[in-house]
Amino acid sequence: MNWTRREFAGLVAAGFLAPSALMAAPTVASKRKFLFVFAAGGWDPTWVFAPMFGRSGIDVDTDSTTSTQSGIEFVDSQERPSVRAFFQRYGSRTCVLNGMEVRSITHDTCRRLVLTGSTQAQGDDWPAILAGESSGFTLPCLVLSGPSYTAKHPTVVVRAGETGQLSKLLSGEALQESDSILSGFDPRMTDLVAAHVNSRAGAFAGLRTGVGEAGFVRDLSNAHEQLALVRDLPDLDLGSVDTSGYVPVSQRVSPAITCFRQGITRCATVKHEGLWGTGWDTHAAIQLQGDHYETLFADLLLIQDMLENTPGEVEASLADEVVMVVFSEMGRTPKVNAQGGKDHWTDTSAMILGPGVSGGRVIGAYDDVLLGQKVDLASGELSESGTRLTSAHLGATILALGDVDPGDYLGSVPPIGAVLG
Amino acid sequence: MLGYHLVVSMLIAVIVGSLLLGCKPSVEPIDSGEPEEATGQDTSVCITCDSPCESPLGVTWESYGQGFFQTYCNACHSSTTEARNGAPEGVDFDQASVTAAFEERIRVRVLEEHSMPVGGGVPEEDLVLLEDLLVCLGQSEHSDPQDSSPDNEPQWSVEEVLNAVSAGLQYGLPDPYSPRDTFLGMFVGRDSQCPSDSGFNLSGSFNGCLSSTGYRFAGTSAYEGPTTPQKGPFHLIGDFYIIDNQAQWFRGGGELLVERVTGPGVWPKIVGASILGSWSYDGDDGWLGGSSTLATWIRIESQPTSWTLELDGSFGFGEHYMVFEDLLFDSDECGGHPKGRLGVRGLDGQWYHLDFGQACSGCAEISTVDTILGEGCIDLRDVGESLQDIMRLHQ
Amino acid sequence: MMLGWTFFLWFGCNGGANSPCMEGFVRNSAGACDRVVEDSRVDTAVEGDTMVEEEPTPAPEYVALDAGRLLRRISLDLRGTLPSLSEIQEVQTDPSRVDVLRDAYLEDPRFEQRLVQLFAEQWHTQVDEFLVTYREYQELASSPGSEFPFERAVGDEPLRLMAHVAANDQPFSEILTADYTLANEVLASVWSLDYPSDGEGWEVSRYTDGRPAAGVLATNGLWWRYHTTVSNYNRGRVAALVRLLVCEDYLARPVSLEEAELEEDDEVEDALRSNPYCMGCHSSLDPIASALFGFYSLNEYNIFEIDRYHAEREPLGHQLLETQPEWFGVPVSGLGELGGAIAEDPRFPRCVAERMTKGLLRRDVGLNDFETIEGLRQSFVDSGLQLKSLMRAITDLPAYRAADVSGAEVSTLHLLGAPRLADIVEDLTGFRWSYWGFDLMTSDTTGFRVMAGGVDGAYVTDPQRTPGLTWLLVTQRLAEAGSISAIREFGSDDSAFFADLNISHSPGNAVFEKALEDMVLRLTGRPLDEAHRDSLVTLWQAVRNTGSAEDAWAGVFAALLQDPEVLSY
Repeated sequence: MNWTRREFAGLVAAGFLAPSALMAAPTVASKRKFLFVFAAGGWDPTWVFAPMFGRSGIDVDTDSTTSTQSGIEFVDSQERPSVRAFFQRYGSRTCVLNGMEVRSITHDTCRRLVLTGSTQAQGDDWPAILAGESSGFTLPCLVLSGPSYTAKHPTVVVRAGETGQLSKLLSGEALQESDSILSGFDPRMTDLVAAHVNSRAGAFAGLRTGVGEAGFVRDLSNAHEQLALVRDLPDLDLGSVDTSGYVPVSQRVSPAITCFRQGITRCATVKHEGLWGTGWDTHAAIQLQGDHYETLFADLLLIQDMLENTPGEVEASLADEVVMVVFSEMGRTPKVNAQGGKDHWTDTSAMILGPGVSGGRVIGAYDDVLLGQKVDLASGELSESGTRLTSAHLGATILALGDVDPGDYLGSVPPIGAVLG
Repeated sequence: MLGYHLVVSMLIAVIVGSLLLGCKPSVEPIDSGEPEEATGQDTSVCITCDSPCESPLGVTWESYGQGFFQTYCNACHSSTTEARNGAPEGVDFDQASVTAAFEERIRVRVLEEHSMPVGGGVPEEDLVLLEDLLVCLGQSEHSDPQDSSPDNEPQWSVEEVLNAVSAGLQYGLPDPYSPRDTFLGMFVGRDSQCPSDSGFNLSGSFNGCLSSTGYRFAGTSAYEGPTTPQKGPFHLIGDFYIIDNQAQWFRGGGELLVERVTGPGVWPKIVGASILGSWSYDGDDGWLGGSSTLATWIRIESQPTSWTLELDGSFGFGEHYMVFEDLLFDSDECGGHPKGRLGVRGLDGQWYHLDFGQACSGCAEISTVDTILGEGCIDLRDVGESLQDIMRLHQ
Repeated sequence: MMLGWTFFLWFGCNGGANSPCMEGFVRNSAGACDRVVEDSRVDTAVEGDTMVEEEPTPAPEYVALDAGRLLRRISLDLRGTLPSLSEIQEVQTDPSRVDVLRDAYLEDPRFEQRLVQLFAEQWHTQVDEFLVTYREYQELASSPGSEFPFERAVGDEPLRLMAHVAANDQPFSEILTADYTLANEVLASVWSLDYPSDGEGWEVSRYTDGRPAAGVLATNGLWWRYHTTVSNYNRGRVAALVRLLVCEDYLARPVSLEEAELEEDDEVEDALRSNPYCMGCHSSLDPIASALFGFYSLNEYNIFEIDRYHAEREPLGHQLLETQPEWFGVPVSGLGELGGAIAEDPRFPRCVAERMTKGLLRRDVGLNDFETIEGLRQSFVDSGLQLKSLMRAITDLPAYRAADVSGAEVSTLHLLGAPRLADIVEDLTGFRWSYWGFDLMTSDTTGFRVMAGGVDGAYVTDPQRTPGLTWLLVTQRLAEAGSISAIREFGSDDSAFFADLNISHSPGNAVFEKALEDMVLRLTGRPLDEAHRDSLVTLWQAVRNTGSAEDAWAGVFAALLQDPEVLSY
């Protein structure tokens, strides 16, 4: 059975999806924007999201304690002041998901699973779906860095390039960055050629009407339209990134904030590689997780600060329009290995905050071997008769927050109603 | 593109339809729970197809079946595996004729009960194709492949193996103090600028730095322990190279550890050590001089008048490659002769094992994986004792 | 019940590769039956216990490409470049020459390089970052320009070996048994290889560190990409090689650790060897991992640990995993025999057929293709595992030669993206987009590979199949640069397109018109039609009004390089 539009509507009617999120203000839901922050390498939830003290089967950070801020119970440490500060300031808008199963333990597969809910090569990730199911965005899905999977919506995904290549292509600066000295065409000639090529794309569409040609022709037309719109954008500043040193994620996100403000982007993705970009894959020295979390939450504080101080399209600030999803592709084993690190684990956590999210909540939990416990999706309470959270549930929830019917992509996997405020 | 579920449901329909009207044998095999005799003879008649029977999808042993069983079953259910993990003897799926005899049990266990393979994990499309395969498996003629495993004739005699062991241990067993002391010694070449940080930790990029004394330091390391070459617990993690002023390289990639397992003054005194990774110094005239790579774990237990030394892991330098498998030197019980196993790699790539058993005679059965070469004797008491001496901590 | 009958007829009982197909089908060169007449009957499908009405999916009916476009597709797929003008004219006159030229392309020196690209799409070794960088080698550290050549050489190593085996008519199983690898000057300068002293570029070389003969399984390049950790014991590597070589994906199996019923005090390693649920995968996975311990490193960030083979660690697999090396139940003595065992595995040739079909049809291969793949596998085996023979058979498939299709939603129009786009522009214009040693169209840190539709091997693992914004932008800038580069030879005898032209030639002039016609035919594989001619002349005139004849031609040429007929195939 698929999760059909009718059933989706039924869920809304039954109150599982709050009317305030999806019905009373549908335009807001469909206008919601999303920032995906991907902690690359696999984080250890027991260092922040899941206090697991006193379990013999789980090694934890012994220099930390359990604290609660704004309804969020978390692992608190003096070494991680930004974590505490973040939950103090934003806990009431934040929902933490614990015990989410990804079902694999290799980076490549887990990345695909956590972003698409499936191992299938031809799947779209949550940002691509949200962007593909919306209209009116010139750069619908902006990938600043990190993974991106798309099959059905290739034209919505726009890669900015890790060093600002998109800006350089648009301005023509890219041609100056060549061992052959090139200045490119003058603007008038560029325009003449572009007009010709655009017209040829139209002629091509007229001639290529076959079934096997349809996808290509459609996406070519879309790309041309999109390019024309991008060229018409005033003050589009996607920045360029100097790779000669470490660039904080809060700085990398800046072009996305600009695009959100201009209303040209619905989703943006950025990769977070922890302290000094050294990555979260701590097979040795598990204590580095603490440093990575501190760096991550310091960046998240700055990002939220930027969102709060940037006017939104509809709301007073982008903080009320942008949902932030913070996630990693996997968790880490319960026990420390011989190298003092932890290896890959199938169950992990994620964090969602922003408009439409039922904040101040932790949904789900881990058992004594760090596997997820079953949850009643509607209430968010632990329940033996409930459902094991998976990355597909995370995806369904994100899609629901964006006013996209999850059934169209995830079949019978429902959203976690309790997350939807 | 067709949705996956649609495809699968179509294929199920194909099979169901064809079972009713197509290639289904008219004589149902009896599900006795016991395999049919593996005669390779037809037990049923195909009523609609040209002979031989063909399944709806055209799935055959060659096109799919052999691969399916290899993927999901043969790790335990094959005539050649050494790790059956409880699979009954004779229930093997590496040959079509034998597999065909278990056709009905396979159908029940895999397709109906889903009790095999253990833990499940067979994607639905594979189940579809398996069901198709089983339609005709029993009626097809198969020529089972002959054993084509390569012939691994030992190329070394007992004497050559013993010579190889002697050569491999010409500098004794590896000890963690050789690379540690070399590491400490390299710091005579440092100056105030290079390497940049204090203590014995190198830092900076791998481009490294050149000191005023002509030493080049590159990479990173972390060291805890005495800063003079005295014996005692220490820990060194390295990912570096240092080139001395004679252009001799000291390479460190891995970890060295010596630790007391029991506290001072307690008998027995137990010391644990490990030498992991690549450690070598061109200027060393012992085992460290031969581009050594190691994964060696050492445990020494000392009593006032006796000691034991256990080794596990591997040791290689130059073209000498050795492995220790629970190798135990016991000064009291065996007079310093080893128990356990020692392996040495031949130039042909084969491993030759010396199994000393429990005899304490210095003599071992020497074999390859396939062949017993005979017995050989070698006196290794000195190598065990010398390492024991090096590793004895001043407590 | 009717559906069963219909589908039974459609799929079933269709005999061996040489028997005639049933009415309405034709047997293709791979031995499979392709439907040529659509069957519009509607039947009943069985879903669980319920009979439901369902439209049957008719077999695809293909419309064949014309000879010029077909030759262009084949040339792009087998050589990565466009056919010459004379070749296109040859097949326009005599379409039967397509197959003759196809066979010649398989012997073209560029075939080997094209194979590297095709393998790279699926083997994912051409990543921009490995765990160590060029700076860790003293030989390279002082030369920043070494970064890209080093990274790419490492990733190319296994791909080059496979391409070499195929291009030199060796059985493709040699990729698993070869006692050599392929290396270039960069690799030879830092690794223990007997690279020829007078060698240039990629040459057959042998490692001198005692590693066994196991083809790609004994290459640093493969295991640097698929590295392991101290505690993973090569298991991740096994998942990769099983997926790459026999197309079985452990990681795609529908499993959940919850069902393993782990206990709090379970040691993970013990569970993997005793918990029935874990053993489902680990009973076959661990014995394979046990054969890979010569590449087991104790510090995966250290060059001395990862760039040499550790022969002394071979037996550690048995010690650490407590299992002897086996390949799915077939005992092997180590890495050397592992390669041979995989080569003997019946899944190997099928997997090769599947992967090459995916690469050339530019789409995924699924259950619907079972019979086609089986036909290809059979012909591949019959040829003695000659990859050229397999590729010949694939290029004979009606699905490959299709301009369009009915009865199935499969794409028959393919996107030209990175890296081929760069090769074509370089071939036509001499321009290669590089900067500080980085080939920008085949890398991503500062380059445009993924933006132009390519695969980075880490975050993007499938080539883009239809146009997108950044692809369009890259093609535009690349076309500009290529055009500027090409026009520098305006009027020169060396110029591929502008040799006969001078500044006095204008529309209506025979030389002008001929140049335009040849240009379009060469680039698109189709004759110039009147509407297209008129639009190009209009563009030429518009630029000429304010610029030189060279400018006008540069504009026309840039426009052609961006033309959808050029960027698709």
